[in-house]
This record gives sequence, C-alpha cells and structure tokens, in this order.
Amino acid sequence: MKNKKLHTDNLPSGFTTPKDYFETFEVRLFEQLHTETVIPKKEGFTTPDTYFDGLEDTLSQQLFTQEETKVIPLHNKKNYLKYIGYAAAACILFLGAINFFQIGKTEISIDNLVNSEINTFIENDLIALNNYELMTVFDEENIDIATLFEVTLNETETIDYLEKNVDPYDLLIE
Amino acid sequence: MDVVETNLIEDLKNVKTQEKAFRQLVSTYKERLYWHIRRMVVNHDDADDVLQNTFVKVFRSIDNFKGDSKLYSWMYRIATNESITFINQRAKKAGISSEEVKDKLVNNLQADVYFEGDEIQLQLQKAIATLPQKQQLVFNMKYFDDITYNEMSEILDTSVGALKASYHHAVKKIEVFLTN
Repeated sequence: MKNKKLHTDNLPSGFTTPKDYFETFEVRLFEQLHTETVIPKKEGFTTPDTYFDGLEDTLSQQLFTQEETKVIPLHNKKNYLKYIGYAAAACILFLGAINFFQIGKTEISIDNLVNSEINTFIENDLIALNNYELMTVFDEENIDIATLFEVTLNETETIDYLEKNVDPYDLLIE
Repeated sequence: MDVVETNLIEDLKNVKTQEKAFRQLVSTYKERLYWHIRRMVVNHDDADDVLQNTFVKVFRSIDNFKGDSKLYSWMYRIATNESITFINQRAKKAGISSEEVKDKLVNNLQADVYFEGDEIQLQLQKAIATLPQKQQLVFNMKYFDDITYNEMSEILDTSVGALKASYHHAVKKIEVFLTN
C-alpha cells in the first residue's frame, strides 16, 4: 500500500485569528512577563490550620441539624374562642366606661319633663306652690290676660253673675 | 453543563440526597471560593463568614438555578455579591465609602495573624485597594484566579472588551504604585 503524503500547505482549516495577532504576540508576551516580575503572584494570605477540613461539618450542621422547637399552631379553635372572649370583654369595658363618664355629665332639666306630666302634677295638687308664688315666676308685662282665658263671656250670664255676687254698695265705694 | 454537574444539581434538589450532595459541593469549591472572597474582604474571619453565607445561599437558591451557566460561575457570582454586600454594609455602618473600608482593612494587614506576606506583598494589597471596586474584582479574577474573560463576562455580566480594558488599566495602575 502506498503511503499517501498529505499536503498540509495551504489547506484551509477554517480557523482564523484576530487582526495583527502574530505581529503583536511578542509585545504582549513580554508585557505579561514584565507584569509578573513587578506584581507578585502570591499574596501572603494564610488560613488557620485545618480550617478547610472542618468546613463541610460546620455548614452541614447549620443546614441539616433539626432542633426540637415548640410548634405553635397558627389555626387553633381554642385560640379563636379565646380571642372572641377577649374582644367581648373589651367591648363591655369600653361601653361601661362610656356610660360611666356620661352619667356625671347628664343634667336633668325641666325640658326633659313631658308637659302632660307637669299638668298631672298641678291638677292633683302635687305642686307645693300657691297662686302668688306662681305669679312671681311670670313676668306680668309679658302676660296677655286675654290669652289666658279662651272662654268668651256671655252678656246675660255676666249680668246674672253680677246681680248674685256683687254688692252695688261695694262698687260705689271703689 | 456536564453530566457530573447535572447529577450534582439533581441530588442537591432531592431531599433524600441533598446533604451528601451538599458536602460534595462544599468539598469541591470551598478553596476557590474562599480565596476569591478573601481577596475582596482581606480579613480571614470575615472571609469565613462570607464563605459560609455563600454556601448557605447557594443551597437555599438551588431550585432557582436554571442551568444556563456553569454551576461554578453561578456560585462565583453569589460569592462576589456576598462580598460586595459585606463591604458595603460595613461602609454604611461606619459612614464611609467602600473604598475607605478596604483601605482600613489593608492597613490592618501588617498586624493580621493570617497575613505572612513581605513588604512588596503588603504594598500590592495597598495598590489593589486604590482601584475602583469592579476593577479590583477584574484584576483579582484574571491575575490570581486565572479566570478567562469569557467566564468573567458571565460572572460579572460585563462584555469581554470592557473587561480587557479594565484589566489593562488595573495592571498599569498597580505597576506604577509598586515601582514608585
């Protein structure tokens, strides 16, 4: 079998390089070498002995060790009833406080009484005031006598009344 | 995403297998993530806190991992964000900038039990602390972690071109700082 010599010259491989890659290669190489002579490659940082050896255990403990913790259920019937009780007690106290403070402030005045109750009081002679005392309560100037008596006087009845009750002699003296 | 990574993620999501899978995850990535974090927060104890927070967050967010990037890129992004948050929170608490916080941390390095660097290494940290936060990230990831620009682009959500420019500027500033 003949050995076929492969001609590799000018065979396109498909690979390309950046522009001026080979032209600038030496400059870049020597720049890199220079940098590494000026800037140390080691920084001088150290760690405690066996620091890295125990790291897996330290981290696993943090993430996978389950401690027994008290579980407080969020939704509990007993809790709901308890909260309802608290709310009811708070409402009662609040209303009681309002009522307590309102009593001291309430003034009972004559306006609170119903007129019918006043009339009943007077008609049944429950009022301790006599007519003179009642009159002193009212300002005489504001009283129109005619408005007090709505009854119109009959002439015949008036004359009869005068004849029976009034002495003509007394009228002459006045 | 390769088969090993796919299986690991499935095991992490399964309650029966998640603890074992988590231990494997920690074992595989702890050192890479630690040094990335340490370079940002400087102090070992702070780096330890941030690293633990990172793994806890990775575990609790594993259901949100869609698989559109490599697992390591996703974890690296979480670690980066946790580190930035740590620095920013400390800055807010102290009423100073995040750059000033980094500055203070670096100034305490000489007395730090977990720093055994020489003078030039101490000056390097001071030089890095003078850079803007993102530029510090780019420099550390490229120079010390050997992360490719494409991976970095995925992690930092920044274009490759912008990252190259940022790295170039960072290197120049650090060289000037160290040689002066």
